[in-house]
Amino acid sequence: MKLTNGFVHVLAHATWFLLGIGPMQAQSARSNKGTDPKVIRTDSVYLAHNVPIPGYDAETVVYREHIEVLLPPTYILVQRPKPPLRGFYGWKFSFGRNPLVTLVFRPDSALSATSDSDVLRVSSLFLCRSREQWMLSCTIPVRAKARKGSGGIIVDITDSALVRQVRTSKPSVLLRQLFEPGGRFRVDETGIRYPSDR
Amino acid sequence: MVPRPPLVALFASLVVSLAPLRVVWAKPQEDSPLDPRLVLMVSEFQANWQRAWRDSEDYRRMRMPYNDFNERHVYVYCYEEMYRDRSPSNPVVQGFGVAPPQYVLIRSKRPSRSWCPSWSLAKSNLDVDDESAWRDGALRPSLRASVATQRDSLVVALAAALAKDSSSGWIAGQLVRFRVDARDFDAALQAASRCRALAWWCAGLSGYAHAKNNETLAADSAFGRMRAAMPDSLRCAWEDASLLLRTDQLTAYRKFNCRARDSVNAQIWWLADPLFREAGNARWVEQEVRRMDIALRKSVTQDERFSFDEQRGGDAVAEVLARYGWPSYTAWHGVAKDRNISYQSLEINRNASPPSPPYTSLEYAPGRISSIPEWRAVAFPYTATATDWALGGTDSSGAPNTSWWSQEHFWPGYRIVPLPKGQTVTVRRQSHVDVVAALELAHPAQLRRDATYDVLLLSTTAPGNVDSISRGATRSGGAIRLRGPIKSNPTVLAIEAVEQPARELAARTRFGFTPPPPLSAILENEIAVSDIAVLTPRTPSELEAPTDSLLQHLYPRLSLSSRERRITLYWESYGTQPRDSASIVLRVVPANDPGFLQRVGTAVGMVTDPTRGIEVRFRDQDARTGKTTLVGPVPAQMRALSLDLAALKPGRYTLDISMSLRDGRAASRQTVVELLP
Repeated sequence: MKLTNGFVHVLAHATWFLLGIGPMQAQSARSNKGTDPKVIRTDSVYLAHNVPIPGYDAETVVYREHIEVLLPPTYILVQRPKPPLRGFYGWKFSFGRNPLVTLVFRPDSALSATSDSDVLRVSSLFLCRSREQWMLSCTIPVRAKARKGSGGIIVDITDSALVRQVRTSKPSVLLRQLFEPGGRFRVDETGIRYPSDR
Repeated sequence: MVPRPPLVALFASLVVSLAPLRVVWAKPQEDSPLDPRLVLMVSEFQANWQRAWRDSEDYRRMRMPYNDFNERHVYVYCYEEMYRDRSPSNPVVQGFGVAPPQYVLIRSKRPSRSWCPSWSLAKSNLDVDDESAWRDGALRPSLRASVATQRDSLVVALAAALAKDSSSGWIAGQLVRFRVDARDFDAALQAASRCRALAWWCAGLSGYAHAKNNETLAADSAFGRMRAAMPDSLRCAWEDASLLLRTDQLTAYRKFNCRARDSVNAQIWWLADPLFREAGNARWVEQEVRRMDIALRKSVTQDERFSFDEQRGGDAVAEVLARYGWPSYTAWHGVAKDRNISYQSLEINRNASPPSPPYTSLEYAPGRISSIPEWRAVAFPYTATATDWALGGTDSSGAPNTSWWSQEHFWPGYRIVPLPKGQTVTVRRQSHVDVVAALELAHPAQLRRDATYDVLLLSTTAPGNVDSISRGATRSGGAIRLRGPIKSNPTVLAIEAVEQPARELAARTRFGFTPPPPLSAILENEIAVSDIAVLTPRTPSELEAPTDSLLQHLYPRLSLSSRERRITLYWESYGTQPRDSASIVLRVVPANDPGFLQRVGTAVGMVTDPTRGIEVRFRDQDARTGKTTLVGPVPAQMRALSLDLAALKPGRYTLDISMSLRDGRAASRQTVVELLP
């Protein structure tokens, strides 16, 4: 069946929405009701499958003094294969589609991690010359702190020059890549928010 | 080359062993661990390629006609509910529509991942080339250069790694793969030649590089070496053809154990060869390329877009590739739709496989064919009929057909359309048999193009064993008659026409054929009648002393229009002497035998004979028929007779020639003609 006009299209999607298996906005709304046990179960399913949790997959936020970037959780460390796979974990992210700046958060060597903490402990943030530069050859250190968040790893970039550069250009999208041992990777993107300076 | 099957013993040695239907995708990995830096580089390249592809698809989607975008929903979302319940009351159908009924949904063992392959869903797509021919064709031209640059850098790293460790099948494989993707086929072949990993894997990489460079014969040879070098258990899994067979074919296939399947597979690929005249088996080569593509991608868990690990439903995408090869185009509906599908998948089935975006359509350019024949042809090729090969790529008007779909299909490099069987007869000589075939190159696809065709009459009895019997040329719409000697053993006879010089269109027919033995094999006192040849009307002078040169006037078909009721019959009798004065009866009777009650009614005079036929009786010396004797140890009498069928109603008629001698010896022969209204 071919839907031939916008009105039918909207109706059809409305039906889909009402069934409760519809657009992600519906999911976002539900997952904000944090006390609903059903929603909690849903979130654990998302996490177990390495899907960004609606509502928690927060936008990147560029504050006056720092930038808060949420990096998605690794699939392998959620699934915990035995024995653990040895290889590189790493996140590469670019501010803007024609990237203003590209950064990588990675360890210096391959590892057999059993938790996100293992990866966090040995990883650092580096600046790349271009989006195409290989991760391991991006070696210009960038000041930042990393911690575990509810939906992944949160990196607080505190390099004042870089923060200023991003605030000046105000790119609207963060392109993210996640790499895991064995060849698994993921490509996605999130919005960037610039809260007022009050 | 596919090895020759032991034809006689093949189906007699049927071993009942119901192996489970499970296709194993063999991995070429060695035991040594992979270099994590190289794995990361491959992943990084693939991620960047995906980024460029996403940008390309974003650009196209913004400019895509609304209906094209809308029509693709059902294929991009590809929910099983869309295919399980096609009724309008199904809310999923209400939301997204429903795919035409010929299409199949290919689902993973993990319940949430399915693929819905289809023909191309739009007349054209913006800034895109067929990615089944070149992977980067999926990228906008303006984005290809930066991807190529990064791929070059990856290739340098892989080449250096292979120089250090030529025993790594993984490194050799990825190097060949990326050099092929860069369309640097010579370098890909060099990389394959430096491979010192498992012999079968290195041979397979050579075959892969040759095939991607359209060197079918070299690829066929390399894949043959690959197959020969495989351990039995691996070959059994690698060559498993289960996914390519329909349920009815699969039931028969699964009755063979692993060892017997070697022969069955060889039989399948032999008969699936798109054109016997071309050196190398393009269909088998294509299947090996698909298997290599899958193995190369599984070894890195995922490729630029598709996940090949089982947790994320990689078995489903591998099945799509095994059955249909690489798609021509994949449409992506963007980040938001990916998230919708991910969430919906988890909502529908909490225990499903993890979502594996990007979710895309898998679109194939029409014009492809299905060349694997019906199972009865695989089991008994020498009695196969032309209709046992469906092909299926073209509709009745000659245009690419999009209303069909099949268990498998492929693109042989040019369109192939079916030819009518035409008329095929044999005449026996002292030490050999001549086969004469006539048909018209009048498929609507051929009539659309004014072209010349190079036509071959071929005989094949096994893979790689193809005899060229005769060759000719004719133009679109013309008739061709080919004659040549044929061995007196059961064979598959084929007529194959290839457009010259463009080679964009080919036409073929093939069928099982059992020629009679030569006259030297005729028994003492045995008499016989040859095939009856239906000829275009000949002049009385030609009939006075007929010879087998009349066969150049063989009708190119046995369906005669209302203006073609006058015909000439040509036949030969063997083992009789002119002095025998044989009694000959020619009957033309309806081919559909009347029912029992009708025959009883006719016999007792209660029912008027519903059939109208012709009966002609004459003796050997009768002046109404000309005769020429071919003198030899076993003489042959060449005969011709004009016949007017104008009084007969349209329908199918059996032409029967019966010959009897005074001493009681007798022989007869029949053929069937159809009189069209």
